[in-house]
Amino acid sequence: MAKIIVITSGKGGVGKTTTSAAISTGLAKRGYKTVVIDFDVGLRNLDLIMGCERRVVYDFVNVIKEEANLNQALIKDKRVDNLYILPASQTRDKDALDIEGVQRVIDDLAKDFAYIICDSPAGIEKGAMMAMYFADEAIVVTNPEVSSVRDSDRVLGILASKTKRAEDNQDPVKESLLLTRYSPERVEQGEMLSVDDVKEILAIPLLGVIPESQSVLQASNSGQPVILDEESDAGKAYEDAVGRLLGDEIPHRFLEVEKKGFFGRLFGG
Amino acid sequence: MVLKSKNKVQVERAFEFKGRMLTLTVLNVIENDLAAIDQQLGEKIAQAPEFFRNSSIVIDANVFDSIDLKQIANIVRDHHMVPVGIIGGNLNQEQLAADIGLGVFPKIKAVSSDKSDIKTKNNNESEAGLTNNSDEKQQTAESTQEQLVPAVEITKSPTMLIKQPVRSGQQIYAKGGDLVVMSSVGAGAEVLADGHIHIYGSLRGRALAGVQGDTQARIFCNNLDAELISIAGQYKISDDIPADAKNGLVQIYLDNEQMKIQEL
Repeated sequence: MAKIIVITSGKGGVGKTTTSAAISTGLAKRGYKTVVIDFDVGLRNLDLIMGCERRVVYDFVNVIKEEANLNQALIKDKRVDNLYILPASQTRDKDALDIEGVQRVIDDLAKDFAYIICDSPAGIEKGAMMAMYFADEAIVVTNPEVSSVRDSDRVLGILASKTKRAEDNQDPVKESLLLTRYSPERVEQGEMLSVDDVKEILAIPLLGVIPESQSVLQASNSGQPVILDEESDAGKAYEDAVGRLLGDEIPHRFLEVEKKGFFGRLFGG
Repeated sequence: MVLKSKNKVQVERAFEFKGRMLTLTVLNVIENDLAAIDQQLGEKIAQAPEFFRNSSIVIDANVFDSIDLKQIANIVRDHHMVPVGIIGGNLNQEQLAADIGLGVFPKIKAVSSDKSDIKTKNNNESEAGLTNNSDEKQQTAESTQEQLVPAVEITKSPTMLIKQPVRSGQQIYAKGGDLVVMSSVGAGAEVLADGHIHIYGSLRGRALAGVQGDTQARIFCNNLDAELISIAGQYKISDDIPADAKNGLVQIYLDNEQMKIQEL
């Protein structure tokens, strides 16, 4: 049975797509057959981050509308075995998604894949609702600042009430927090919320802390998931997060200025 | 022009029902004298005509079996107010209300059990709920708003227990009893109860206790960082809460209509 994980946040620009790309790549690298679905219909980005934008022929909406079959739309990643991308349509909008269609696609994928990663659009409207509806787990991506934290809180409320698991009275969606763009220096100067602040407000387990890093932008621009950049702090932090997602006990890194000092100087943080 | 939909247009959800607490003015008849009611109502309204214009009026039918609902509704209308329903009527009156297009409000069940007489009157200004912007009006107009007095029945009030954090955008209302939240109430969340509210985590959102007018209701919380706290319609917003009251265990209660915040 495939595990369906939604990457969500409420707020835009916090790193959902970067995280979707990194987590799915990390899972595939460890041998799990993984597909990542872009739910951001109309604002397609995942294909760029994954570096497969030139290979999109059919998309998620085509499959929902039965204009193409899954095998035609799935793009196999060239770098990592076991990794497939189902891109969003750029020419349609979120109304092209319907619950029966999404269910059919996810059911079909579940026969074949171990992990289905749903990259949610920002907001709490239809696209985001569709992305989270069938989820077993949710990774809530949050930046250490108040508006992002509040939006995440809102999304957690929706996950607890509007998902299929909630409606069917099953066990709730398993939620975890991924704090991105974290800068221990700025936390120390009081310009940013600390990990503990955010954990205290959101009250969900911490999956990982991704430090603010130049390498994320470079990775995005070159269409290479940052987790493949094994030298960067962000890549390592994502690698840790994937391990924790699979149940490993891994201590959190990159939380302290002092700790970071050595690595920071070496790799330019 | 109405579009006739041959290819069925699917509207996903055209409406939804929402429970909301609103302030209503209750007209409580003390003497069953229509002429006197008409005259005194006119005088009262003359004091604050804008406050009363088009306001919704609930007629308390409790006192007299012989009360002429239809006439009273007409008097209310003559004074440019809108009768919307009756409360506390018997079956006949409820039927009559339905016939003349008025709604029927359910009787309020006992919240506190200290009153054993069927009906105590007081002219205190207290609210059957709270709306944000009506409070100023409330103070300027000497109004006939009347506490909806508990009926005799003493029932054990159910306490609502919430184990999860109350998240931004969520609203939880413990009707007829207390509310216990074992976790935090997030910014942008709202918790309401007819009785007390206990929050074992931080209160960062809004908490309204005693929303049916119980002035004995209290709010207890660990870390008061609320957007708004209210007891029986009296409220304080974040800016009005002293900074030194914000840490640790606190209780909020009404002392002679003054809201007090006290460390425990």
